[in-house]
Amino acid sequence: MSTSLRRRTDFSLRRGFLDAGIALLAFVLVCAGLNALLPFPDVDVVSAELRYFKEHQDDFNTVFIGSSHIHHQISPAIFDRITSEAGHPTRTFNFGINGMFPPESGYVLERLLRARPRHLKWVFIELDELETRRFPQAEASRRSLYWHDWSRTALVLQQILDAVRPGEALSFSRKTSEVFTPGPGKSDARDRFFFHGALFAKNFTNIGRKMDLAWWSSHLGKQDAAPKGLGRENDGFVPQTRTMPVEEGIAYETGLKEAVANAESRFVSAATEQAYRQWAAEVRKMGATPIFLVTPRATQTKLGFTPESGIAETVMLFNDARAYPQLYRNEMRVDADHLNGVAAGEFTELVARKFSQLIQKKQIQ
Amino acid sequence: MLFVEFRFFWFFLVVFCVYWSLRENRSRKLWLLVCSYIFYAAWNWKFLFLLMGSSLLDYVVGMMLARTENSRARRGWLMLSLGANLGTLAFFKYFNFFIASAATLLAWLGLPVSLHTLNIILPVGISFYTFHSMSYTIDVYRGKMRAVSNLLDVCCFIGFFPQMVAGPIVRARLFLPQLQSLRNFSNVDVRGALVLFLTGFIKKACIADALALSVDRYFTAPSSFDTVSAWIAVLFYAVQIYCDFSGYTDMAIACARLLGYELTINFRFPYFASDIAEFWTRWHISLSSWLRDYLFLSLGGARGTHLFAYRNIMITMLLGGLWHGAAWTFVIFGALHGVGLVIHHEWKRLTRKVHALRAAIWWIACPLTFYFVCVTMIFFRSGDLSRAGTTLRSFVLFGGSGLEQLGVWKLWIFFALAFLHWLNFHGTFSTWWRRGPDPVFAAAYGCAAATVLLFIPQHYTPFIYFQF
Repeated sequence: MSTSLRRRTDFSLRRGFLDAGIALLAFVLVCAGLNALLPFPDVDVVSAELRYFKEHQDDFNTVFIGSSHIHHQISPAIFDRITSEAGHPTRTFNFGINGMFPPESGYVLERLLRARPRHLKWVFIELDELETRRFPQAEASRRSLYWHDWSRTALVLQQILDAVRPGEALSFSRKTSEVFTPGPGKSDARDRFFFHGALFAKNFTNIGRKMDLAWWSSHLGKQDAAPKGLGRENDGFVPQTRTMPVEEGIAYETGLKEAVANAESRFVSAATEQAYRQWAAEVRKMGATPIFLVTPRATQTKLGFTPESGIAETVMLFNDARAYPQLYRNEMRVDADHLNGVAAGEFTELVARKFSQLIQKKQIQ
Repeated sequence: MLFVEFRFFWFFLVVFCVYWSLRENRSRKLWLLVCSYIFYAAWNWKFLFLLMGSSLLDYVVGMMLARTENSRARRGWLMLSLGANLGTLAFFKYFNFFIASAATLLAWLGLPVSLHTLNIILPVGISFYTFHSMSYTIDVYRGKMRAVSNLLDVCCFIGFFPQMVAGPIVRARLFLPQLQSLRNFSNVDVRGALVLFLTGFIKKACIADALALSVDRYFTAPSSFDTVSAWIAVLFYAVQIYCDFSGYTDMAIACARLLGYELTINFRFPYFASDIAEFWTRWHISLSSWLRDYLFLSLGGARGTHLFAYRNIMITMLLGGLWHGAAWTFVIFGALHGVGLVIHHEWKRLTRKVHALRAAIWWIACPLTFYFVCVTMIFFRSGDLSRAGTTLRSFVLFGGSGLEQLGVWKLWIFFALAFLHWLNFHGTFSTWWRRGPDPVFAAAYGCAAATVLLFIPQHYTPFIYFQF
């Protein structure tokens, strides 16, 4: 009797698991379907700029994409003038957005390419390590959520796992168990792991996306005004005018001296390289050339790609206070990482000249 | 940890799987207790000791009540339990209120004093678990149930996570026997529980939280809105609080049911009550019946003269109002309901002979009762008397003078929700989902859950009754 009872229990348990599996599968499929069908979320600056770019995409053949280091420091007007003088005329759009670090920048780049801009030839992508930190003031915003698709989240999680035992080639399971076993300095990694995992779950399950539907339906057939953050020329460049306070300037100089003394060259992490390789491939698929750019930041670490990556030759490094001392003078800066408007013009000229040289040398097609 | 959060889903999944994989009742209860304490500690682990202390004290009091026949000693033990539970509640919830009220009163009498309030954090669910706890000792004292000799059972009853922080207020004599027998999964109505959970989730996350935006906007500065906006805000609040609280209760009952336990029903379409007495048999039933059994009847109930009964009603409702929160607005809320009940009883007494009329006037009585409840809700929501006064002027006297508007079109949302509620009242949604094979139900449930998530706000709003 006990055997028959057990059989019956096993059977119902199996049926229970089957039903749970069906429910889960239906849940995942509907979430994925809705995720694909729903309009792009209304993420303040990002959505507005994407919409603007889509409307004017055929006007541009060059795009700079990145964070505030691009937004405030690359002047498309100056860039186009220099390249025109050098005989390689460009029409440039600055797609820099404050706080847009990789992998968010990569996500936006893919969105931008999905619009299939017909004349796009060169895409300058700001180069930096994948950002995994939490920014408490922005955590609850849609900005921190919308780019957490599977591909981006996997990269971020890989970056977090790799950082626990850097330089060691461990299997995925070993890395994961390393993060989840108690030990010094691991709680932060665990915290980030769960944070990004939760954002992925929230994004995948489309929580609260009714507002996107509402926004989309209320804007159907309406012409949007140009977004506010595009600057005077509507080219995405907004120079900064603030001057660095004296105390901050002293701290900046001390920090810079230290950074120059400890300057090193290194390859980006495996996850970062994988991400940039993917984005480079996407750009090439569109018939354009990816160029990676490091702006004149206080950090003097020379980032690069491994030769196996196939993208190592297209990196422009400007975070070198010895090579570009004019960009590192106190009066040229707003803070340790940003240039003022005058220096931004000078920096853009340097980028444009280097770009023209690379074209002349046929290092860039 | 809220029932509508992702982490609760994972938490409950672990609780559920481990619970049903355990064979012994004792292990299951131990597991439930550990999980309940983790659930509570997720909010603030320090107050866990208060919960444990309350459970231990009432267990000891129960045991002592069982050991002695001496009525004086028994009364003493009961007083100890009531004193400790109500004392804790009074300190955490009402200390500052009484101090501030005393200072205001003395200042009004021309005796200004400088009384200092304390920076006290209100332990979540304290009003609920002290009532759970007291129901046990009072029932043992009254001989309605035997004292439980197992501390684990008492701790599990008081700390059972689905009902610990916001009810329903479960009676010891209903819940403890369930803990004492091994639950059988084949008796669990899984489909019913899952539908109930999803219904509660929709009520809370899709309706209550969505309406909260307009309600909060209005009640922040009621004087800047016009009369129509006041109506929208008050009607929305009536829907919000119902969906918020009954949604929570649905989810709590569903979680308990999935673990094999039955909690008491807490709402039965209260807004379809045709008088205020009926309203209290449909709204927060576990509280109203608790107050009736342990307070109103202890005061003498309806025995004796009408005046005596009305006095008891007023005391019960005033204390019931105060139970909700330490503010005069809650006292007025209770007082209005008390007055409403007294008037209703008088009316019923005077119109005893016209029974035939009562059925005919349902269509008038029901909206009138709802209107009266809405008026009392103004005090419940306003936070202070001045805002309550402004809203009341707009809602009752149509005297709103502000220029801001919430949008008249929003009234359609109210009517649409009222229509859906009416359909549900008539049983339209009650059983059709029981038909069909399990795999079809599972697939439909997965699809429904995925779709529902679209309509919830991006950020969770705490349950209104968590503050009580």
